[in-house]
Amino acid sequence: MRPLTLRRVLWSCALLAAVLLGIVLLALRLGAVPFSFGDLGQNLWWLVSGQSEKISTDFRLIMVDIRLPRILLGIVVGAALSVAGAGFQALLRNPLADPYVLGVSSGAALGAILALLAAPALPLMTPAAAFVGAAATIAAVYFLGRRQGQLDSGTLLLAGIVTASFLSATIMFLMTTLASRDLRGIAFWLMGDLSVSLPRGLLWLLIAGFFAAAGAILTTASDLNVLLAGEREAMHLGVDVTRVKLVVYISASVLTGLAVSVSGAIGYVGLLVPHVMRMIFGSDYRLLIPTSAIGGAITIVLADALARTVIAPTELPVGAMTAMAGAPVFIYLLRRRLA
Amino acid sequence: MIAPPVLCGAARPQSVPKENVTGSASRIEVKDETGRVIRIPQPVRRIVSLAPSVTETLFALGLGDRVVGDTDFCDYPAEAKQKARIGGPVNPNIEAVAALHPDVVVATREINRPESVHSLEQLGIAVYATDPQTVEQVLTSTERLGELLGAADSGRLLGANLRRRLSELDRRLAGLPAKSVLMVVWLDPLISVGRNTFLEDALRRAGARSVIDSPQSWPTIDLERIVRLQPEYLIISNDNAQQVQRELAEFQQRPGWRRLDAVRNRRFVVLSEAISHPSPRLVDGIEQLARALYPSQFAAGAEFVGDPLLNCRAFVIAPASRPPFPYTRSGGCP
Repeated sequence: MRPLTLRRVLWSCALLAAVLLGIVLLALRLGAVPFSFGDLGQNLWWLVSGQSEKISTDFRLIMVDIRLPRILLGIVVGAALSVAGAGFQALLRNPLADPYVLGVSSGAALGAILALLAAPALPLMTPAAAFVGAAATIAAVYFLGRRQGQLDSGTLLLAGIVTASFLSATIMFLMTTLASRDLRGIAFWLMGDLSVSLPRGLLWLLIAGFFAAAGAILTTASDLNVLLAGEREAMHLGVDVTRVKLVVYISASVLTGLAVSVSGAIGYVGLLVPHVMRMIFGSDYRLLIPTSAIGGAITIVLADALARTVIAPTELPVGAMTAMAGAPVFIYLLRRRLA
Repeated sequence: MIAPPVLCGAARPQSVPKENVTGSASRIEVKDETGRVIRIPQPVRRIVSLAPSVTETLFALGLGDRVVGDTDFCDYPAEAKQKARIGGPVNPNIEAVAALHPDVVVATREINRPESVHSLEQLGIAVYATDPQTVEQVLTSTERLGELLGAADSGRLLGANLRRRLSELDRRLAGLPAKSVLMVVWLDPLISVGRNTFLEDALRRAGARSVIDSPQSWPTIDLERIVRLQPEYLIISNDNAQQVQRELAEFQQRPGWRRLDAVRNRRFVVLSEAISHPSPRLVDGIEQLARALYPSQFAAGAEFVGDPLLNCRAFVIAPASRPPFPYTRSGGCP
């Protein structure tokens, strides 16, 4: 394997960022309300160059108020889920690990359901309660997953899976016994849904949270490379295994919690994107984390653009789209690598 | 045009609502049925409906021309299918709604999600949410919508007419014991109707008593319970003839269901979907059910005043002597 240089990291990221930009432009173009590329370019130029008074009202309403924030949300959520997935795969040393394996999404869903039952009319209650639910699950799994005071991958995985199934069962119980009308849409939420528009402030908070948590994981990247060889080996090589595991566990969980709180549990992205990035760019975590972040953003923005347009104006849940489009791509890459 | 004759007053000049409202001349501030305070621009020219029942109500109020968008499932009246589609009630396309520049969006708590309402609110679009839980509330909600959307007169006329039909029904059914029924809302899993729903109230007004008494709105029911409760009639509400046929066949073939007296005696009532929508058409559905359950109370001269199509598309209870599934009435239908 070629040695990893900063130059290679930057080039790889620049390449992916260019792809992302293209996808974003495409996603801006696609939607229930058609805009030509010419219109799009003109209005975007006015927006960027500060001549916003020239922008048409329709463009402002559809693009600036709805489509652009949604795409931005997709970028953050996709990046957060993919980095979290990469983190969990290293932490649990399990290729099947995804952001939801430890029950964070189930905890968030339970929080969201309780909020919908208690105060369906309060707009920000659902994401807030979902995040509280995610945080509570993170804490519970942490205490259940320790062994002799340390996070143990095997114990953590089992504790997480059991917590997740317990929470899912609780959700099913609540949904069948209460059958409240306000829970009608929860199925969409459970499949992942980017259609909910958030206040700007929350979006910025989300972006800040993403950079903090993803940055924390990135600082442990070279330690994670060593950790993949085994915990004992890493310890002999001077890695503070306890600290690394704690940082990755908390950061990856927070990333998942943030993403799930605002968009529900969008499946497969967090599992597939890190693997695809590994196949393309190799398994060095210093490269894998930034490329996963951009790759996740590309995947979600593309999947959401398709979800919005395939049977427009009816929207598909973006989670269904990520799985439907993601699985064949993944299988193709997997087989090609084996060939 | 299939609109019932009741609606002839719809074309009259509309008065702007005066009572119960405050605010500037261009917008009125009102509380919707879920308790949210919203500001509706006046006059209302462009309306988007987020649910089939809402669309039906708007058309019944004579506001069909002002409906600029509705959902994929809005199929009644036929004109509703010609409107711009904004997606499903649970997953409306917010962009598509916004692009129609509605003065007001009308939603209903029964099937729309609070999230969709919040998203539209964020864009500065007024969303009025209805929440009728009884037949009476369906009527008051209809009248209120008429008042707020500039069709107060036709709202009052419509309400008065529906109330007159309901009290006429009460008169005919007075003193008769209610017949026990199982409303099959969904077959797999078996879902029926619980307390505090417009549908349960509608059954009661048609002289039927649901054997299910549940605090949940749409409870999932164990078949064992039904076998013990032995309802006199099974009721389904579906406009799709093939689905009805399949469902009736299922009743007769399934192990548990076969043991029900209602199935053995073929006491099925197949209703149009009117009864499952909380809109003015609900009264048609109630009359339809009452006529099916108490045919002797409705003399030959008693005309069915609802949508004429309903009367024949819908039901006939198959007596045991007849072939298994004659569920459409032949003759005399347009």
